[in-house]
Amino acid sequence: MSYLQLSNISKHFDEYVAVDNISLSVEKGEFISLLGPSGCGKTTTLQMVAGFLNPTAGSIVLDGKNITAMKPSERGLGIVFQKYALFPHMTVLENVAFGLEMRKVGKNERLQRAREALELVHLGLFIERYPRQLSGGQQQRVALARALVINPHLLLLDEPLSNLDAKLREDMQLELHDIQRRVGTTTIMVTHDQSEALAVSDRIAVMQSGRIEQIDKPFNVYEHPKSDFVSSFLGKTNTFEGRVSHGRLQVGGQHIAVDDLKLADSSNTRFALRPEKIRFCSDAPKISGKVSNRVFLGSQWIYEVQTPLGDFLIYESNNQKHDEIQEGETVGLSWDSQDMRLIAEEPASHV
Amino acid sequence: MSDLQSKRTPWLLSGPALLSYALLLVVPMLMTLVLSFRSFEPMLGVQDEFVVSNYIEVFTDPYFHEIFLRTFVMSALTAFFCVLIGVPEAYILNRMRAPWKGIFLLMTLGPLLISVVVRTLGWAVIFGREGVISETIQFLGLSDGPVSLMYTQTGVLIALVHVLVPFMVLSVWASLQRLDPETERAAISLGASQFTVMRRIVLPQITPGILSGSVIVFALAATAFATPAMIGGRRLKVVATTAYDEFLHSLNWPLGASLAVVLLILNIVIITGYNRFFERKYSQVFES
Repeated sequence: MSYLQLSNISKHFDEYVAVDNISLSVEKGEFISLLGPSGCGKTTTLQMVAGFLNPTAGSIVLDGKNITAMKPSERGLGIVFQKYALFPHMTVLENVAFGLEMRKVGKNERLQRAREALELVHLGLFIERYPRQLSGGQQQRVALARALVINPHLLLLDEPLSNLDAKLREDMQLELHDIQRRVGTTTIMVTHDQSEALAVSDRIAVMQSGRIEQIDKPFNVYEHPKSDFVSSFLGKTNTFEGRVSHGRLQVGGQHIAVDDLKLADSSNTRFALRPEKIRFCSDAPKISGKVSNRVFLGSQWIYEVQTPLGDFLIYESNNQKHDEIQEGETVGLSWDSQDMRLIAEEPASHV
Repeated sequence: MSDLQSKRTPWLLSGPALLSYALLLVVPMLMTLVLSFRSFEPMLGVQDEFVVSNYIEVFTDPYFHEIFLRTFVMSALTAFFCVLIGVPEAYILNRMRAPWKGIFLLMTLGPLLISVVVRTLGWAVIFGREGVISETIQFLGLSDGPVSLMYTQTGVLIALVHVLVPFMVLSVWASLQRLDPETERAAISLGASQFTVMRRIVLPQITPGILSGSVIVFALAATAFATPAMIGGRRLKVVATTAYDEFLHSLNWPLGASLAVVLLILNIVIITGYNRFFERKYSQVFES
């Protein structure tokens, strides 16, 4: 059995169903992200694991023990709160040592272990400061050290990086990944930020309306989204629909060869195509369109191209040798058929 | 707008308030101060000469010492009991859900809308020889004769605590609003019991509210007039009622004025000293 097993967990608030019968197994040492828009039930799920909310139905088993009804103070989990929730009246060292004090660890040992935990998050020099004297990123590290110092069975992270500015967030993503690898604590992170989830997790559970839509490795979730929602929530995507007949896709009067996809004939098929899979080409384009907008981001260009299939978003790395493409220019677009993802299909009815 | 004009505007805008403040507060206080240095002849009234005899009398007469000491002890006890009652009250109120939170908050703060005289009269009815307490005790056979809390320190204390506890609740309430409830959850997740959370996490964070609440309650209790006058009466005088008696019964205005001035100065000294002490103690944590 898995290290952590959520079985058929539901949470109802009166009429409102926040979490709808979800099951999730987490292996020891794994880093799992619950990813979804606000109101998808990810935070509610985390709070049930933490013990701050009782599930309406279902069970939570941690390391072979059923903890569904256990008090949060007895679960022995490390939690990093969204706004860090540091104790403002205690120094950084006292904050980190608090959990050990509650575990009746002797004074010398607990101060020693708290110092080590602070070294781990590179805050060894700030131990006598008060939380308000620290920057947001430093407070975040204190919160992480405070959660890790008790050697928790599970580390729960509630939108841990959402209060940091963009640059700091990227640094912390890498560091969080690194620390979790080194310590090896099984971790569940709640986030609405797809790049955060992609960067740090072993597996991502994409949630919507209280259900898990898809759970898989970051690469698979991104490359093989199982639903329209997953493909549009993780990264940008271009979708279009058309009719497949005899190995050709008919969309708005255009014919695109898809014979290598070996599709059955269907009346209505939806495809998703990632912006970075599309390239400009002058001979034998799949379709052509007019550039309506372009944005330079340093490492890449973003183009918006009006095509007969709808507006396409195209990412091109800043490493192309062709002439600069201007707004208003007509361009040919091409891509590999394998990069088109089938997300919905209706078999052909005999019209 | 010219420089001169822009400098004048704030003064003009705050002028009316400043004027009424000066007229209604500063001038009477200065007049009281001047009055406290005048002499008094029982036959002739207030004399137009400068003396310090009133202050000498206040500082040397054991009669006044007793009254000042009583006022101080009573105010300190009032503040103490207000902390004891008001802090848990505010905490519980803060954790209530709607609509109970609103209803109970109104019940707590509502009495502030009613005159102190009315509220104190209520206690007088309860405390009297034929009051509820006395009747109950006699009915239970705990006492042979009627029992009265009127004109006793206990009676004044109970009434003062009742009258002033809303100020403590308000003050603690304000600091509870600034308390991040997640810090309580963080402590629980780290293994703290509910009692430990209260003692180690909540109380230290609302200490500034408790301190400022106790300053407010102490100052109001030390200068309270209506409640000690109605419950304590002439038999249990505090500084405020003594000053009143000097003005209206002995007609010794200068002595009354000097009592008022000494009370004011003592109040300021005690409160600023108390503030300084705790500010220094907590500056590390709560300056922002």
